[in-house]
Amino acid sequence: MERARLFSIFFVSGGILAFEVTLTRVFALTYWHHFASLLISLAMVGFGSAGSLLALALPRLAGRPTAALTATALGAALSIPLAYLGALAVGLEPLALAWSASAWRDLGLVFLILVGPFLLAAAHIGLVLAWTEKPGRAYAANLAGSAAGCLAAALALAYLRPNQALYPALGLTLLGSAAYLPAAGRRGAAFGGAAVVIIVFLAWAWPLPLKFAPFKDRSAALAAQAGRLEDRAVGLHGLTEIIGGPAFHYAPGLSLGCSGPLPEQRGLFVDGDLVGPITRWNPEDPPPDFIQCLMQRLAYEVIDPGRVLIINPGGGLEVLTALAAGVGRVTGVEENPEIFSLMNGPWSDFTGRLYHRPGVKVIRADPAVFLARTPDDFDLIILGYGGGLVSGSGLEVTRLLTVEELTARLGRLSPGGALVLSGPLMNPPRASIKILATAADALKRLNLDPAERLALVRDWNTVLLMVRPGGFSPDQAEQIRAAARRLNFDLSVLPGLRPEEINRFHVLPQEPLAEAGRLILAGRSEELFDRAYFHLRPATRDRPYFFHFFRFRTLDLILSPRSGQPLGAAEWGLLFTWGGFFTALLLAFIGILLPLVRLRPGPRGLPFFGLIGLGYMLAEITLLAETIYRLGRPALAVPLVVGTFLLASGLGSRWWGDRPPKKFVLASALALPLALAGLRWLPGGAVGAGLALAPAALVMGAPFAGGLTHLVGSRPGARAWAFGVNGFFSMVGALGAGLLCLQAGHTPAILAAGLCYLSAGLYLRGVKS
Amino acid sequence: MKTITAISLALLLLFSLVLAGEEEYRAARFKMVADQIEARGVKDPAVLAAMRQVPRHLFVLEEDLKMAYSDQPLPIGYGQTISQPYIVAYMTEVLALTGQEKVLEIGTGSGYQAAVLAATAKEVYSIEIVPQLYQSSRDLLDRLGCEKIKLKLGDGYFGWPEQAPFDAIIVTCAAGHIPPPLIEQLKVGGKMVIPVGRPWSVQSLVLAEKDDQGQVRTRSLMAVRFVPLMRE
Repeated sequence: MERARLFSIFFVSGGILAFEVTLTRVFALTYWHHFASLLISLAMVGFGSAGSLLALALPRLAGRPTAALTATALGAALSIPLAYLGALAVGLEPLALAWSASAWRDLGLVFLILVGPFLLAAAHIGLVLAWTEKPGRAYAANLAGSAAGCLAAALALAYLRPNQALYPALGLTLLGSAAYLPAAGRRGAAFGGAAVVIIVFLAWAWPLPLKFAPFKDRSAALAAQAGRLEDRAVGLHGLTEIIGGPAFHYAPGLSLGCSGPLPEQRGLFVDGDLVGPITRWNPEDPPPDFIQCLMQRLAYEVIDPGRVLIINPGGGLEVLTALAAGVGRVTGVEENPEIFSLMNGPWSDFTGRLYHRPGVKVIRADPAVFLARTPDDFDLIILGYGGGLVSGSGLEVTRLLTVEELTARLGRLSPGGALVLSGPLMNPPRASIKILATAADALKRLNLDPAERLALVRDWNTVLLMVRPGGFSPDQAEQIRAAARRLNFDLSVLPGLRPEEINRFHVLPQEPLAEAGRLILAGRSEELFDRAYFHLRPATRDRPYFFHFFRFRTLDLILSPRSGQPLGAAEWGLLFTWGGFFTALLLAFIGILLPLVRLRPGPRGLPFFGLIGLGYMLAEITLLAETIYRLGRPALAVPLVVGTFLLASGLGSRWWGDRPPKKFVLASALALPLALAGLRWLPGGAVGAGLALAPAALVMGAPFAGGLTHLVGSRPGARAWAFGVNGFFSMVGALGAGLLCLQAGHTPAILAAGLCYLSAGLYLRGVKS
Repeated sequence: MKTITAISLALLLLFSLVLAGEEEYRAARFKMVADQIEARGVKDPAVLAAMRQVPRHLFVLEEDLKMAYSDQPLPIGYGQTISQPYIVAYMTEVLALTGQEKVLEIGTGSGYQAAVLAATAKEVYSIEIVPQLYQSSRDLLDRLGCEKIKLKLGDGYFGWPEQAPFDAIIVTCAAGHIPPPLIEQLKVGGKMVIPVGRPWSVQSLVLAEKDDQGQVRTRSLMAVRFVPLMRE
């Protein structure tokens, strides 16, 4: 029986983790990234609730352990497709949350539906932990199964469509439920076997659908007359699609003075969000006229570049612009392998084999890694900062947009070269002001005065910032003036800019960009940051969150009846996370206290299990963010960190799970800062990251099982309750980690996690085993 | 005789109910104009009269009837919305129409904005790209007898060159940039109001004006959120 339990806990843990990972991706398509993550974090309430409910129900289940274990495992498997279909059927539209009460009702409904699979799977895991004779082995199987599930999900997402990737989660959970068939007798085995066959048949006959919210870019493009999906590629970077028909034209930064026709274009979408155009070009013809009217063209009027580096060229508009300017050597670094394949494969002819033109070299690589390794210098480095605004999450790690990275980029420019950063203006302007402040800080780190080295041009919607470490000469400043005047663009920052030269063509109330530029260049950035409604302080190595704009003062702007200022996606993301954090706290409080009414004598160890749950997730999420920064590739960092944590912790539990937990919590407190330091200083890419993380994860795996053995003993109800406490605080820790990283940085967040373990150790000093 | 009396009574009752319902909507419309539109500073009497006159409840989906006059946009299907009443009034006022203008609307949607424009301008040309919305708005506007409005199924990006130039252009869906053909089709001295920005983001409501030299200047008016402009 013990073997069957280990088997089932392994597979059910794997199945539910695969479900969680896959659902995060699927809902990122259906809704938005940040929203999907929050929804699933909250659904993890099921984990804590299961422990609390089991603590109350265990006496009744004690006589029928096999039935209870089979029912929870099978229930978890069944509920995976049902919850998914149910959540889709609700038809939640996140954008409508801004104005519709019914959208909030739908949100609650989706949340309740999604709790189901997590509740049932956690109930199964809790039952095994409560009844097992060796908690250390069972917990190790739980963690190892979760690691396997994480790996299965990563593989499925790399090779299957996201909705199809839900099937491995279903399959793993079903396998777990089959563990007890031999012990269930003939009738039980027949019943269970039939259930498994029926589920497999249903999954085959009615595949799970993939549905996009109607307000996503993709849905709108397809609803248009003759709108059609023309191509699709699946991978860990997301679902990349090309949508057209005769349909799509996109030209951000197009001058109002341009009246020529735009050529045929297609829309390039990732996870349903538009990332840019693919423009038809016949290489026999000169590049299309509209290129000469784009704001990006200005950079080429001032600098005469021999070598240009374009970071994430996407559909190739920037490459085309460089070619139109007569650049001899264009290098592109594309991080999305699906976009790279599409542009080099089926869409190569559409673009006139743009990526294979003489002098053009586009490679598939992580831009940060490429820039760290390439020996080349460039006359122009072009980087767009608008892409991250699509996903909209303030919690996104933006390595390329930190002060340290921009400083490094400036160091890679040839003498006379410039870094060009372009993106949307936003209303009210905030990303554009933050990029200006970041560039100014980067110049200061090189002991250069920003006043002579920055030029910012804008229209009503697009901003272009040029950073030239060598400074703009009076002639170059005059060239920028003339080009801006010719194309109807406004100047907000330029050496020698006069007040009467600003806000002429595209009038903004009070021209906030010019005012921000004045303060930043006068060394009064702090004044600007303090009085702004948004978080405008530059992103840094320890707080690499460029799209984090929300501060509590932002609410004054939103809630002011006169302002009526709608929120941007980035602010919504953070507001949701705060809301989720407080909801998690409330649910944890209720869920933990509820069983105490019935459990007599009351179980011990609430602070211990709470603190290690909180500390574990604070550490894991913070180290994940740090690893994403180190590797630059979330698609690699997530399985690496989650897998290392689960596997190493599983080993820790297996080896030391029956020992008193005190020295392991103290070891964890010490190991965490070392893990952070290792991630920053150890060489060796992903392998080095794994080596930095493994020791901490190993010792952090021991305390939970040790706590069950030495604090709780063999009372099943109390064990289940301890599992619930740990689950609730893990959820609070996961959401709290993101907020702490944003507000304080990675180092304080890791120190806080260490403090949790240290406090757990102090608590154990006063407790007898 | 009894049957005739019963039928007459039933018809009378039905008629009274319809009238009572219409009266209720009329009251809601007047309240909407007072609380949501005048209170926020829209003053043009012609615009206010149009907003009181056009029965907004006919332009929303049946399940949203109760919210037809509430201070919010509503979905009309196909990822599109009928704009918040205040935004409809504000955008119309910004065009400063005198009743003699030829106006082009991009994005007919439900047809509500076109109906409001028809009450304040001489001619309205409106283009919709979603076939289903084009059909439903055409049916409704025909039923309401809006003869001033000409509808076309097609790509609003290219405007309506056969009918150009226009005194005013109103774009009721967000565009990534201001389409050059629309600038071309705007008369000298004409005004165009357009929300610009990404659909997932907060957009700017921009007023573009063409001066005597044909040069276009823009002014950001306020932050808005519109559905995207779709292209054919």
